[in-house]
Amino acid sequence: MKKIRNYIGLVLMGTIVLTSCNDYLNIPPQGEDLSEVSLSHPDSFERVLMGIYDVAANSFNGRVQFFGELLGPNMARPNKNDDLTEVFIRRTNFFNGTINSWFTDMNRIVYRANFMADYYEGVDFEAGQLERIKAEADFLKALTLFNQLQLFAQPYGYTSDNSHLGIAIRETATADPVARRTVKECYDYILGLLEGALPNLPDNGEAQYAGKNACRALLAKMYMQMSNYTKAAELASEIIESGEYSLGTNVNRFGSSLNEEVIFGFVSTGSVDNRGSSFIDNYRQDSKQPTLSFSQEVYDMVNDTNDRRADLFTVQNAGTANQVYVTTKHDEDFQSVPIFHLTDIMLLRAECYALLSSNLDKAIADVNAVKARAYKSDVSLSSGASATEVLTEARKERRIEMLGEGDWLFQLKRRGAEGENLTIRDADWNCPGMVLQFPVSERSQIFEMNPEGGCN
Amino acid sequence: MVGGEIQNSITTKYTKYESAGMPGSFYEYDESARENPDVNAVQIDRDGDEIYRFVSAFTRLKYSIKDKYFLEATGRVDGSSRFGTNNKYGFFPSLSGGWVMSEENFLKNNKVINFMKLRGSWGVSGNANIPNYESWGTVIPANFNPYYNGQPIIYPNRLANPNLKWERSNVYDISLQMGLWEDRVTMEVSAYYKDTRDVLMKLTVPSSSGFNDYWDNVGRITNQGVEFELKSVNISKKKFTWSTNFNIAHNQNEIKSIGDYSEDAVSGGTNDTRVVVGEPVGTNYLVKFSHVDSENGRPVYLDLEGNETYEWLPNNRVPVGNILPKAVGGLTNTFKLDNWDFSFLLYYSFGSKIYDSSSKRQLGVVTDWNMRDDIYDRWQQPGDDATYPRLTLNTQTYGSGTPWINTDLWLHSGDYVRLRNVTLGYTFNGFKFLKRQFTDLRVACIATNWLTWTTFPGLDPEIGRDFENSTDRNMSPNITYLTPPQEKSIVITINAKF
Repeated sequence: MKKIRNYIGLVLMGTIVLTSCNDYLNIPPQGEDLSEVSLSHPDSFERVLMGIYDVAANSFNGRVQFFGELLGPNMARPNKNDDLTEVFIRRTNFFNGTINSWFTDMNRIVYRANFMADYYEGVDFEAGQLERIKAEADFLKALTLFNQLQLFAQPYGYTSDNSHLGIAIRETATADPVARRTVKECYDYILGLLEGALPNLPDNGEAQYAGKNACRALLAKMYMQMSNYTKAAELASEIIESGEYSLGTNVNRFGSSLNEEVIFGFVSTGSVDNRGSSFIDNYRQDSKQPTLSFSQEVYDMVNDTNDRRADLFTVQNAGTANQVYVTTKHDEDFQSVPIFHLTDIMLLRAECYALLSSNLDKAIADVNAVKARAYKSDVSLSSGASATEVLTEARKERRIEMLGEGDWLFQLKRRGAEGENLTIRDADWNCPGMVLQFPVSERSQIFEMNPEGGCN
Repeated sequence: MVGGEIQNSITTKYTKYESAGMPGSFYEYDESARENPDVNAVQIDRDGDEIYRFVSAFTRLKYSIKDKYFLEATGRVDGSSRFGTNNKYGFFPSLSGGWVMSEENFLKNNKVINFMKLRGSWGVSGNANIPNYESWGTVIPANFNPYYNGQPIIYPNRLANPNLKWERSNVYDISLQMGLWEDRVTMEVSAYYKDTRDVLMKLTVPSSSGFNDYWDNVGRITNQGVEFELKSVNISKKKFTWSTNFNIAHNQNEIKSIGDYSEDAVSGGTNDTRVVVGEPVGTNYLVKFSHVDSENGRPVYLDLEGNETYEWLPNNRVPVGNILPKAVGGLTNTFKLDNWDFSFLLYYSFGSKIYDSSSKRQLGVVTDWNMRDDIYDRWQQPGDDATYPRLTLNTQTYGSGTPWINTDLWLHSGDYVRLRNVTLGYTFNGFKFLKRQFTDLRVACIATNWLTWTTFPGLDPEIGRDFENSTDRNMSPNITYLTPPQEKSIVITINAKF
């Protein structure tokens, strides 16, 4: 009995010793900084914010844009790229590596914004600094969520109450499976982020950082997708009438820096800091046949000797079975990437006014300003042009101006959802394959994947 | 017995950079080096140390009565630096008992059974076999990073999991050992059941988290099996003996739960082995192939309802095949006649399927891979009844947007019997050679893997391959992918004792 008591005593003693060993077993990784230690000073938050811009720049480096283009009517079949061909033939499945890696990058934007929010408390920010940091992070989060929503869900208006599935939205920095929200819930959430961010964003920011006009531009594009033309035009007018931007004379808005018409974009500082890498990798044509080329229909549309934009397109392997129509827009070693620009916003306002049949004088002026830059001789709309004529020209100029920017598909989908009877490259605007499939990692008991294929 | 143990492991890592004939330092422009362009430079950087610690205390009690009844109880507390702050420790008790039945009066003088022992145990075991630091959330500091618009950045690089804890298994086993006819025949039959909860898995997390994977405690897995071994001395004469060893084992495991995660949360590389509730770990999760359409040569698949379709859709994947054999074992016979000895080992495996993963590239849509000559058995014209679909460069002919798709067309029976070893030896006793006295000299010839009986069409049904990663190794034991066959060899050995 005495022996047993001794044993029990030793075990109890051992337990006490072990519980005091907790600190001994707390070994953080060496050579890395603990999150809670790093994020204790305002400067650190500025740097995390720069980290969000950095990963956003790497996600909008041409990938967001080419997914939209490949699903739409502007492109030819990709050259030697199985993943992008899947997108082009509108049969993406959840093993598509190109989509999966881009999707992860896009969601790093969200994660970093949520992650940063976990550590705000107790940090001694300057007056207004925290509000501005939060606003910029929320803008970037909204930007990525809206682009995901457009690519992975059927458009606003696909169902009458927008109860169809949108995307999963994470409001905290977690990795657990999350269910998809409806498209209405997604729009409400993203609009809420932007409306909350707008007052706290800088009035006159540099284009490579989010300012109030960047926020207005995103809001305008969202309201346009919601067919709320009044609201979209109001926001567009605020941007146009701020006088901060001008169309300039260059019909190629892609260059090493962000030009005078860019409201918001991601800037490159050199060839080792190339934020337009996926544009250049997939479109550059001066040394090889690029992966991405345009359809003959597009080439025929732009091949107008009176149009300066025709110089941005050329024929490769002419007269052979391998003849392709390519763009010279990205024949550079590095490029900055415009996301919102004045051309887009002016044509958006023109289309809104035409659809509303109001302020046609402003709409005509917007379309004519874009035409004046594009055409060598005058092809402007007359001052008495009808709303239909304005609408037709605004849409035509939009398609040409923004070729390669991943915009046109969503214009067509919106029009389809509004009731227009249209097809997109011989498929219904709302066929299942017209949206991308989510990565396989999203599959869970609570996450419903998209249906696949079914377009052709 | 009472004891304790502390383990402190520190691995120091260095990276060595060496350049020859290059001007300048490694990291920044160095004016002095420019004037001496032939300088050979060496720089050694010390990386972060890899540290982990374990702290343990344990006790053991043993008790036996008359060499008939045995009882043992152990208890241990283990702590590991790998787990979250509040989950570092685990308590792992065990209890086992044995009963030598042949010492009981009712068996003591039995003419057949000379030894019989029943043994049983229950225990809880812990597993901490994960990389270090997985519970911590860290950021890459600004001085290590690039920048945006010239501004330094900080970003989180490790997803914190402060809830990470010990994986715990309840293990039960029971066995019966017997010796018959003064151990001319011995046998043992044993069974075990292992119920593992809070399984440590490297999970593929949703990409919407912004990360690819992390370690977490998820779900429940059970393992169970039965093993039987029989050894007999069939003939035992002065000049001739013949003995036989036979064993057979059946082992199965089953995933009971994977929480909210899907079958794809843990995957075996590109081979479509997955975690499916109700199936073994790493079960083949494939679209079912039905037949080749004799009119157009297109492959026809089955959807989840069993309807035929030309569309290959990942959503139609189902668990198929048997990743684990129903039975494995061996049979060894050894003969000795005077100084000669001869033995052979037959190894067998029945009831499993093998997924021939490279087939989809060598017998499917034509790409830049070489095709196998099996492709002669393909559809070529209407009316053909072929094993393989038509040749095409167009993935859509196979109902897919991608050329390399997994279906159970590439799943084959993994049954085989292999003559693992044949050994013929001769022993020379006590002789002199070159003035040296030898006690024994044995010369033997061993032939390995020379005969295999199987219907598997690939190179070898016994798979020993390199995998894409450690998860793939655990998940894809029945996958071959251009896997070299087991080597055939003939070895002559000479063993001398002097």
